[in-house]
Amino acid sequence: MERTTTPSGLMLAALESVLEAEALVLLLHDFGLSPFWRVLLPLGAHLLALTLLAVGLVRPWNFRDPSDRAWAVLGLSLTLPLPLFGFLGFLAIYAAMQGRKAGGGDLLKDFQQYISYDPIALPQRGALEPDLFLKAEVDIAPLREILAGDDVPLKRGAILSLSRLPRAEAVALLKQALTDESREIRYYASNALSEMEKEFNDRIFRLTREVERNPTQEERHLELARTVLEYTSSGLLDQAIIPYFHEIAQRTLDRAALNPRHSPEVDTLLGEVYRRLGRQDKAREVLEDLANREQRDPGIFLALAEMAFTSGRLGEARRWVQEGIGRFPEDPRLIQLQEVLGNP
Amino acid sequence: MKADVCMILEGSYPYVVGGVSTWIHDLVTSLSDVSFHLVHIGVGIESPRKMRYTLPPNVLQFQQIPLMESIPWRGPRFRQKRRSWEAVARFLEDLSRDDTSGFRDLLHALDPRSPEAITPYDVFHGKPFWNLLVQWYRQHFPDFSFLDYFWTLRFMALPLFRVLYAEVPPARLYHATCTGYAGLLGAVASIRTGAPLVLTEHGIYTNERMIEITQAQWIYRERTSSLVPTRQVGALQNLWMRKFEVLSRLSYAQATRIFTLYEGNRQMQIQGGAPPDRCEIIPNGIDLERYDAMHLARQEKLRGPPRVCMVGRVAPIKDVKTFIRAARMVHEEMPEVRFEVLGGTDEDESYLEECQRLVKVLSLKPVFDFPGAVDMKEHYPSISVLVLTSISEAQPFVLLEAMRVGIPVVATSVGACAELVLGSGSDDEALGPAGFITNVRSPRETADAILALLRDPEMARRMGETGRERVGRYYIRRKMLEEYRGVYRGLCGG
Repeated sequence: MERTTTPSGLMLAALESVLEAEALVLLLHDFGLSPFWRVLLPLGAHLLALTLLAVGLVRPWNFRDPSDRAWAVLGLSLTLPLPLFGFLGFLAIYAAMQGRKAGGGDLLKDFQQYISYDPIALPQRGALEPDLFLKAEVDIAPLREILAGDDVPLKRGAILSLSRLPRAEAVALLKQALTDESREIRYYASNALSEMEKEFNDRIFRLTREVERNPTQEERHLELARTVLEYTSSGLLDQAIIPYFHEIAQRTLDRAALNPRHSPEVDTLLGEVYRRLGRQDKAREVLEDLANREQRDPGIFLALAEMAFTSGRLGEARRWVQEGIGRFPEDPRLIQLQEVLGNP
Repeated sequence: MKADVCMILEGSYPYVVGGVSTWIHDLVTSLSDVSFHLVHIGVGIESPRKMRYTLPPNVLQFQQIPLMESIPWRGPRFRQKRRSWEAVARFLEDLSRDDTSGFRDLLHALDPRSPEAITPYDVFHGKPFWNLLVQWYRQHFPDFSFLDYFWTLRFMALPLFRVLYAEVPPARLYHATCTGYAGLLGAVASIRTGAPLVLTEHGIYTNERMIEITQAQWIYRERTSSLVPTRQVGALQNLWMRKFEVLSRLSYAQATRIFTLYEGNRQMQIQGGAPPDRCEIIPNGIDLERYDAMHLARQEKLRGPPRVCMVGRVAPIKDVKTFIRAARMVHEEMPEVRFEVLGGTDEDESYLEECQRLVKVLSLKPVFDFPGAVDMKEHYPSISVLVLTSISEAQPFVLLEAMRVGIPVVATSVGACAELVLGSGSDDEALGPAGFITNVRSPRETADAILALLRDPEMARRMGETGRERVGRYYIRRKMLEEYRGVYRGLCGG
């Protein structure tokens, strides 16, 4: 039987290797080609190598020569599965990542927290972190000096720093800057104050609407009252305007107090609002009533002592502190107040 | 048809109501023997339905240049253009020394008629411009995100090239109503056609942009929790500020005459690079007779409860909230007084809502009103005190008008308000005050000034008369128009 002339299996394998190597080089090297050609050309080379070997496998030139087929099988098995292994490997890595994501919620949460962490927004949320607060204490004096100078770009920076400190001292400095010689500085200071005010106004408006929608939810009333008190202590408002905002707080707390099972904080805040409105008798009545009714909150005694002290009744203030300590001997605020005020 | 004057406007007339637009409309309408070609530079193409003014017949053409729309590719492509790129590189290098003398060469390099013209395609897709960007990046921003730098520069460059490649209408004189893009187009037109450029700035463009940019949320900046103040703003904000500074310098350098409203602004122009000998002042002016008639009607209409009005649109820059707070303080002492904000309410609806909420919180609803934009002719005669609590102004027409009617005014110490109310120069100051000047955001001072005027009608009358006298001497519309007519005649060659 005449033997069919075929290219040697070795040559076929060599050709396949060259084509695959070429595909690899095309894939890895730029050659100044666009991404489209950089993908298409290696793929073409790879497909050509694959086709040659597939032909060698399906139509072996000499089946009686096992080496021919063996080379074709070997070539094909190298050409076809290698990308397959890559694909499977990628799938495995992806699955592992997904598994980690599904099972390891903490990691994702941490990441989300990390990216959403915004140190500048902290003061705007009304609570300075302790280290930032200390930093502010240290930094406010130099800011005052800078604003007294005539370096306009540095003053602009100082105003930016002050706008991150929602404290009465910062507001007072910003208000001083409203009369600065530089038009630019006056404008920046005004804008910083407007931004601070706008934030309070927006919060108060949002909470007022929430209270109207959910009049029975005590927490809404409390939040509105707290925000209003924060606003009136901020130094942003003129004295003549402040009572109107206190009245908002009073109205919302009165509404919350209609619930017979309201929390002691409603009365504590109401007492504070009355005190700020100058209605000392009413404030005292609310807080004393609370002190007789509630024994759970040392803040009541603190508020009563503070109110008595600011009204000039030192003896009464001392008595409230002592009574509070009698009930809450461990409370550091009451202990601290007793150290300052002394005993009755 | 070639117009006498090509007036270049940016984000104002005829689409936006305000002081600058009022001035432009008055100038164009009154100089009816001068033909105008108006070029409006805006973000996009605006519909004629949005026009807030009627164009007078002496406006021969109205052209719009949309800054943020794509640029048609023009001019030769696929050439070396080595010399043109060298001109661009030289201009950019000179800019670091505030030297704008290479601007002509730059314009030549961008001129579509030149065989080596650099096209928008070259700028936005070409390798040489890319190389320039990378070189700049390495020199000035090595530690900054290249991606942010690259997109910021592209975003900054697009409107510039929109102006640089704009078709310049032929005219005998170019008049830019601010620096910025309008000033740039004016300078380009003046260089290409050889016609002179006049520049009028009401507010100082660079300062206004600088304030905007330092507070802009849309420009990326490295965020920090540090409270230590620095002189520096963000790197990209610096780039923007630098761009507007350069635009002002280019227009100042090319302008034959530069005008503004008052001395304070003139000094700022000089600081910004304007040659002092070319900087002059032409203040705003009003039609005296028109307001004299209202003054006569005022004697009759002032009967009834006092009316304290703020005239201006309801917008944060007018600080309406300070007026509302001052109203509360006045109301405590004089409950019969009525308060109104006479001006458009559609500019910032959320701010209007805030103001209305404040009126409600302060229990002022029965005495406080926002009637919106009204015909001031009907209202001026019955206003007892006019208040302006703005945090930024140039030379507000409303003060001039109120003063001529004889209304005592209370205004914040911004722009030229103090000059208007208290006088400027010994002769002017000798006339006395036409009202009170207060600090910005100061309700107490505003309220005290209003109360002082309401409680002392004789002082209010005297101040009203002083205001009438001051406007009658120094702020006359006819005089302002004649000065501009003289400028046009002088530069157009009769």
